[in-house]
Amino acid sequence: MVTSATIGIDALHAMRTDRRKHRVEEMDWFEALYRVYLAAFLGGGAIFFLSGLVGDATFTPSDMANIHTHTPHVLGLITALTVFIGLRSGANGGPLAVEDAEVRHVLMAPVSHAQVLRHPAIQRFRTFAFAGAIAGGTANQLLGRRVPDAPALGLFALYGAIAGAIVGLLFVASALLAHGLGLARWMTTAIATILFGWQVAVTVGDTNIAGPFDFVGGMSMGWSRVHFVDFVGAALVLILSLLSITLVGRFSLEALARRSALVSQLKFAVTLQDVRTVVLLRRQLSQEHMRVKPWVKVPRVLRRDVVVGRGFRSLMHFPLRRVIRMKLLNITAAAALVLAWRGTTPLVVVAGLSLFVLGLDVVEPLSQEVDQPDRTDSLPLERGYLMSKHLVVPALASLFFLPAGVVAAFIMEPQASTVAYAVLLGIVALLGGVAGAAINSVKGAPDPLGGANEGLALPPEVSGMGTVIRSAWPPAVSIIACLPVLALRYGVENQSDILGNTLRAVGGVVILLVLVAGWVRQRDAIHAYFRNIKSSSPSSTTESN
Amino acid sequence: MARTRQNIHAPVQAAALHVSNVAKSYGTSPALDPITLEVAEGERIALIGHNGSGKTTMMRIAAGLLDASQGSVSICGHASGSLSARASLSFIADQPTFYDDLTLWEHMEYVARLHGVEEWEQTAADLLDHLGLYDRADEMPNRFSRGLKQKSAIALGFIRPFDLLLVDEPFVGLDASGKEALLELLASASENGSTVIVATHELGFVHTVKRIVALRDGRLVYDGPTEGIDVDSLVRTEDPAGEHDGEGK
Repeated sequence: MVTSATIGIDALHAMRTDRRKHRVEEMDWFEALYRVYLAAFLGGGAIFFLSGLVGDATFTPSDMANIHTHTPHVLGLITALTVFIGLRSGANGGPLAVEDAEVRHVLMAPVSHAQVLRHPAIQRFRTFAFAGAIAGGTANQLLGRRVPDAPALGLFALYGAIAGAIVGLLFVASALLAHGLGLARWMTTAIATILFGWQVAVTVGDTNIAGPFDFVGGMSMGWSRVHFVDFVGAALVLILSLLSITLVGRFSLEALARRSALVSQLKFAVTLQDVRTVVLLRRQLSQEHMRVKPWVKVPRVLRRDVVVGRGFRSLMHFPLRRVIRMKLLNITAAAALVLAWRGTTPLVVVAGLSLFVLGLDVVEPLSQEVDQPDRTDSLPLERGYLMSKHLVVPALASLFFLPAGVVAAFIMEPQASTVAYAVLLGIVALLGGVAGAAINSVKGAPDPLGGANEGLALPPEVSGMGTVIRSAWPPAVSIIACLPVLALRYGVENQSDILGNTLRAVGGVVILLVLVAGWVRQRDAIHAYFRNIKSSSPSSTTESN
Repeated sequence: MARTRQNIHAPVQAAALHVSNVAKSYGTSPALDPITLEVAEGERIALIGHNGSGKTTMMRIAAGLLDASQGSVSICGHASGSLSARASLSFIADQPTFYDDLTLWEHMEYVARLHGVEEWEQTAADLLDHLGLYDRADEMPNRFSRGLKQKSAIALGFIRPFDLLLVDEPFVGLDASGKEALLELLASASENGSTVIVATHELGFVHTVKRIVALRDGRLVYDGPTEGIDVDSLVRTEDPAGEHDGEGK
């Protein structure tokens, strides 16, 4: 007798085939080719950029010794972080995101969930393994150019690709396992923290003890030495991946339904470079809700001003995990700034971006105001005035993170002067993060004068560039605010006026911060001014006539 | 609509829906207090309550779309979410969802065939005709208006066989003819022996049932016959004089 499940699966396969045909039939080939062209252009550009950054100078013997000693630990650390994120994703219902309709019509039909979800799981493995292989292969090949008496570059690319693919597989497998086994969120956090902590300990401690993911780094070094244990690790990853696929039938329908709706919105928000919506949807995906009961009651003195009081009240409802995440970002930024001071200049970007993301959380009261334009516009207050007052609490709150950053910097550079400079640089860097995030929030506010459609009349090249600049500007402000660390380094390297150099750079950043605050205050007036100029120009007068 | 049960598991003699001590909470916020409920085969029930009373949570847990924080649900004797339970249960949600790339007719075929219904065309044509959607069968339902989407979801809920029909707020957005068509479909499902549970405020339906289950603030406040009951008082946010502070049965 034919079972209903078989009939359902036949229907599923038939409809998937038909839908694939539909998509191919309706595909705009010109657009598809344009996408391929764009991907090749951007990918090629990125490789050229990285090549320039890495350079071609041959490594010295001591560099090579460092590479041999530290690569397994450092790549293991990246892998541990990936597994951490994967486990958390699985605990939050990831990593699969099937269509909403697929949940409603297929997963609620008498069809085996395992058979329905196996295909998307394999797709996910394929995508992540491929992306990892491309990244790993490229990175290892760039490294190979600097290795003296190196074997063929293809060998570097091959082992790099294998290591990258393993990282991709581990991400998906850990997420699928966490979800399929139904591990509680606290348990996945505990497991992920133990693995990550172990890897951090062996990396920072510079010991001979192996970390749990050293084999990934070891595999990437296949061009120089081959260890049996690395292949055992790779084989284990493959076994875990296969095992995780067998668990997809145990996935929670509730989690799949929640993610299916949110992920499609998230993709749309990413397409529009709408960072605020991405933040909100990501919070929903990870079920990060505000605390109902505030941490502490905001004292009356801080509530004297209604906007300031509202801001503090918002912060008092932040959930613990958000506070922990902000602290981690804060410490990451501090560590990146110390490493930039030691000579790794690109880490200024990491510090700036970490503080920008931290700022996105700190400016929550301001963002909430921007999210409610109708309410804001109905208040008997000038909008710019209201928005600028909303900057007070995020600016003060960001300084709450200063001590942890200073301590992190002091642990890495235990000198008395570290504390003084960390305080000085930390204040402007943190405020820069708030400034970048504030620009990002406020620029999302609708223009009360109705200029939202103005860009539509521009040619795509111009409006496209404008979009890129508008998207890049907020994080760029946060990165600029971290640059004084380079002035400090320059002063130390040249034994010139160290404090003077640093203070001048800090002064420049302070001017930028004041300008940002002024822009938030006068944004509507600036828009109105430019619109008036435009409407009173002879060309527009002629056009209107 | 056509209850051709070939190739589907044989019906089991058990309650159509058995909810045992089911509760749901989000973190520390309770959405549904522990509820126990049994619905016999062929019964027709209205689930009522004010906004936020827990009706949709209850329906979604029964449908297997939400995991209960405690307790268990069985559909015709099978654990909620199991293959057999899914074969027995048809759930029409309050928010219709459709594929972006399938026409309504293609949706009908897909859902019917997923449930083992191979002779589906005539049933689909009848259903669409009954709901006034026949001329739109070759259009994309995700581009329909709210009311047409609701009708399409109803058609998809009835194209497949079921023993238990759960419908969440089906009358929202429907015009008068749509409401009438739905009431006829619900009546026909009952006549065919299916169990029908509808979460609604629509008095037109409430007056056709013999049993009402009322929720208030996540608690079961009434479960009993419709006779002599002031339905309005059951859907108010506050309990007047606490007169329904227990099960009616």
